[in-house]
Amino acid sequence: MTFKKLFIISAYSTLIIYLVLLVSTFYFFDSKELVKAIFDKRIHYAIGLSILAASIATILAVLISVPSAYALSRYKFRFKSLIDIFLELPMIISPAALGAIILIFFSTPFGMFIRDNIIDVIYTFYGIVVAQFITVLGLCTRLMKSVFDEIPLRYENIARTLGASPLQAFSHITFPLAKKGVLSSVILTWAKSIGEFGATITVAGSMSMKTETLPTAIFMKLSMADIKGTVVIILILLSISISILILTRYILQSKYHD
Amino acid sequence: MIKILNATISTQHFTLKDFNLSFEPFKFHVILGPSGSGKTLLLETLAGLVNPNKGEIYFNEKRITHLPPEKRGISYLPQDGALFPNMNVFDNIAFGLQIQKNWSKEKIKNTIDDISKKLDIYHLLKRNTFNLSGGEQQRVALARALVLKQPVILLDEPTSSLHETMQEDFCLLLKNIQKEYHITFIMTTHHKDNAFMVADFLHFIENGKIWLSTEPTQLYQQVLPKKIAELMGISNFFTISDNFFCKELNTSFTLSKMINKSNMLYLGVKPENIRVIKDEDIHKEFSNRFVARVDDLLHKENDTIVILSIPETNFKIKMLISTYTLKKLNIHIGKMIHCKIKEEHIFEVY
Repeated sequence: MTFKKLFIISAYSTLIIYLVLLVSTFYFFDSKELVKAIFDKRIHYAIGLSILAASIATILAVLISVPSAYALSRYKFRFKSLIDIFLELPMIISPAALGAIILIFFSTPFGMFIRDNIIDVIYTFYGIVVAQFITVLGLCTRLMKSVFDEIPLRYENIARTLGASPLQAFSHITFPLAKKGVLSSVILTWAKSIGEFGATITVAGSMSMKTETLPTAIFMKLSMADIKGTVVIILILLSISISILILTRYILQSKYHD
Repeated sequence: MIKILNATISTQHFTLKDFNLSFEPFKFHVILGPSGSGKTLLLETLAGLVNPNKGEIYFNEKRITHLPPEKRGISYLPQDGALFPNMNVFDNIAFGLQIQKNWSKEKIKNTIDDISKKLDIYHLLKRNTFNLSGGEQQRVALARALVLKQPVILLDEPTSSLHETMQEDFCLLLKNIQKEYHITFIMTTHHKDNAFMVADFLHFIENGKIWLSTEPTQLYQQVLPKKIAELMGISNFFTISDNFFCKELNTSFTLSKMINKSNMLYLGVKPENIRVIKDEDIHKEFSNRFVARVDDLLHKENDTIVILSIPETNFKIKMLISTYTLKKLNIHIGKMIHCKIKEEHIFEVY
């Protein structure tokens, strides 16, 4: 077997592993369950809650990660490498541990002050947003940083010598050049948020019609041994996530064909 | 007038140390030096993209050492033009005007129409930047800088990406534009012919040091540092001691216009300035001549580099003659030939 064939087979094996897993869910697929889910208010609520929470968490993450990724990409400053390490923190520790850390923080006097006077995040909608935001912030910043790293500094420099301030150079040159990369980072961040489970259930729980998102609903259905119900929610979540991935791929392709 | 005073500029890769240089206004200055000599770093410092670690920069008596680039009134054209890829040609040229906010759309359009006609890029205004040729990119980048009417434009090796014939045209264009707009141009190049074509002032840089600043016409009226002489293509060096005798070439010279009045002179000659004396003229031309043996021949497209050695001293010297002359005079390896160097082609070096 040639080197090339061996490596291509390895690539196919990845596809096969995921396809087998996905197809296996159809073994328990029941169209009546799907129809029931389509008209189920609890599922509607979970879909709406998942989309809303993921969208807010993503917006918050983007608002912080765009300037911070730009700073990490362009400037030298104290503790830069430490920040770089912390970006990976949500990726290297388990989401449940991350959720527990958030819970512990909101149990400290400072956290209690925030809960009492600003916003209560424990077992509330805001808890879902906070859990998802904390989980995706590092990833979002990391993705954005690689986008800014790809854009040569010299365009900004030239803009500056043509009279542009640093903000004008960023808004007229760097950001428009980064736009597609930023957009695909936003979509991937959103996809990661909507699928987040561990931190969400730890901080916000999974209360029906209150804090139940699609991933926590899957867990709840499964814990009640409702396999057919679980499969239907998995398929709903999958269809949302796959649509997002196809959209991302489309955006990335058009970026490289520019 | 721009002045750099005792500046030390360090980057990860290079250092310009205790640097002093002045640029007279409204002139075409050329910084001539080999690759890696610090030319680009010098321009980036003048543009405000790199801050000096030490020393000062003055522009019309105003200290601009740490002034941000947008407040200096100095435009910068990097080697490839660095046109903004997210804009078409028109928007690239308009960029500096649009961000000033006091320019109406109509005024911007008229200004760009004028400059683009002058630089022969009017037909490109609606095109994207990525399918322009190297020469077109340079002209668009030049237009982008010129519309701002800044008093100084820095040009970093603007001809390096151009074909040889296009280099001359672009140099001519730059020279005409500089005269017409009456602004200060500071251009870097490693190409001496381009430098001489445009320069009012030449500044020779090598290894992070300015070795000589001079008007091109005055260059050979002075004793040249050896590094500069080499940069100008002088590759044969020899000494002349008492009575103008040259040990290396085993001959006496007749030299009447030497600047350095000491007994020991260090001289240089370009390979193309060594002439072969025809057999029939051997008894006619006596001054500044020597006898050499042909050691090797290196053929170029139309010329040949002849490696000569002096039999008595084994001193090597290079001569460049046309391949036509080489064949006509039947010059071949091993042949003994008589050569002559005219006095005006002998340069003093140190």
